[in-house]
Amino acid sequence: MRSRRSLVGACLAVVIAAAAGCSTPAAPGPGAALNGPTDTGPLPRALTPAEDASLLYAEDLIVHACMARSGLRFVAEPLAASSRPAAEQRYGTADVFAARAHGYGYSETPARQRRADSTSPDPNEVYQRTLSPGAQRAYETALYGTPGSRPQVELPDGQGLVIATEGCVAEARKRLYGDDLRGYLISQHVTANLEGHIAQDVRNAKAYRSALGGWRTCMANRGFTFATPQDARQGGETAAHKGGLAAEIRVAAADAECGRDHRLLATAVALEQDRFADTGPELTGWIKEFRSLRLAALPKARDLIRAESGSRGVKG
Amino acid sequence: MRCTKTLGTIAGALLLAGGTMLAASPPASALAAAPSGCPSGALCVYSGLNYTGSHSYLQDCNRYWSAFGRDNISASWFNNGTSGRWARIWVDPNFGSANWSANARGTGDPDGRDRVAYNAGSSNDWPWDPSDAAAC
Repeated sequence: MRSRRSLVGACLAVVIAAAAGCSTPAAPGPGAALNGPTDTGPLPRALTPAEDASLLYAEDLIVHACMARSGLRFVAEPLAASSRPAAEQRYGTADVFAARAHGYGYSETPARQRRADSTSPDPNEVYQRTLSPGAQRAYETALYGTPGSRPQVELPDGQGLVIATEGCVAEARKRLYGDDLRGYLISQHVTANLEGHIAQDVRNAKAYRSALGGWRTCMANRGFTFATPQDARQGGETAAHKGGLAAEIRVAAADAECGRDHRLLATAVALEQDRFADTGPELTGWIKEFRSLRLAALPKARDLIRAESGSRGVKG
Repeated sequence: MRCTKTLGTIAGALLLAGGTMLAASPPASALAAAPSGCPSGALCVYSGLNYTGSHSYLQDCNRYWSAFGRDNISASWFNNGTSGRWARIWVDPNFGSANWSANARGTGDPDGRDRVAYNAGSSNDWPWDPSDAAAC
């Protein structure tokens, strides 16, 4: 019997091989037994990191109000995030114009927005650690409901996922994404894990690594020794703190110019599209469901954020 | 192409759960309970199925689970985090491999068998999205 890891490796290899020209199965896949979404129309666009951050902030504003009703503290903080496509954050940027004008956006981010790559601890975790054990249990129950109230739902692969259907987080998700919490959370789990593994697979692909090698050499020739575009982005943040926008722009512009010259992002996006094309209709249906629900939730989230900004006297 | 199609489906399903194999998947039980005692803010990892046995409550990012005796002891887990971050369990120390399992806040795996992180977890981080590169 092959080891688990060797099977994993084999299946990942199949994804790559299948992308070369497999059609989708005619017979219903495992997801069909779940009565999951089966529409195979075009995928809605993925949200940008800034849109994802808006939804998360809106979720947390609802959680904040819900927890307050129980006399509990929950801090909702806006998260600084790029309005550029998520692929740039995953694989590297090629937008030279934006990089030369704005860097990565760190210097221009309002101070009240928390940085996604900040190492500072989550304020709510800090707060709950100060509570007594009994108060911590009450806090957790308010957030996620009692342990006994959390059902297990079946994922398309037959595995179980325990979800919170009561408590403030569930209230926030229902308000934004609709009452079918089960469907939303399955689609979220499927999509996020699939996208995550595809992103990692792309970063490990020979074509991307080759482009990355060129980018690295190009960056070194400009005096920057970053291993990856993610490292360069972090370097840009550090530069912003130390030297302001001009210092940040120097890193970001070099990053974007090297990325453009070595087709880093274009290579990654092509690889990613190949892999998505291979996922099959049962998984594609869940991804479509997830993206549709979140796109539909954006106006509600913006209304909530606008109302919050208005109550603070901040123009949104 | 039937063979490849089937394999493609398996691979897709495998990807979504971070390494689940379809053929060996036991039927899901609707009775599994969420862990009691798992503090808010933590990724709770257990040696037994259904959140039983020894446990580690992980508040932070940890590159080496061997430092606190949790290396490769992970049969079930729950993300009880308060932030919107995902709890991601990596198979190798220091995020060294391409294999991991990720859960959104308020969700957990009571039966981690046939997931890559089952009794194989060696490090964890808290990405805003599972597609983010490893960070600690």
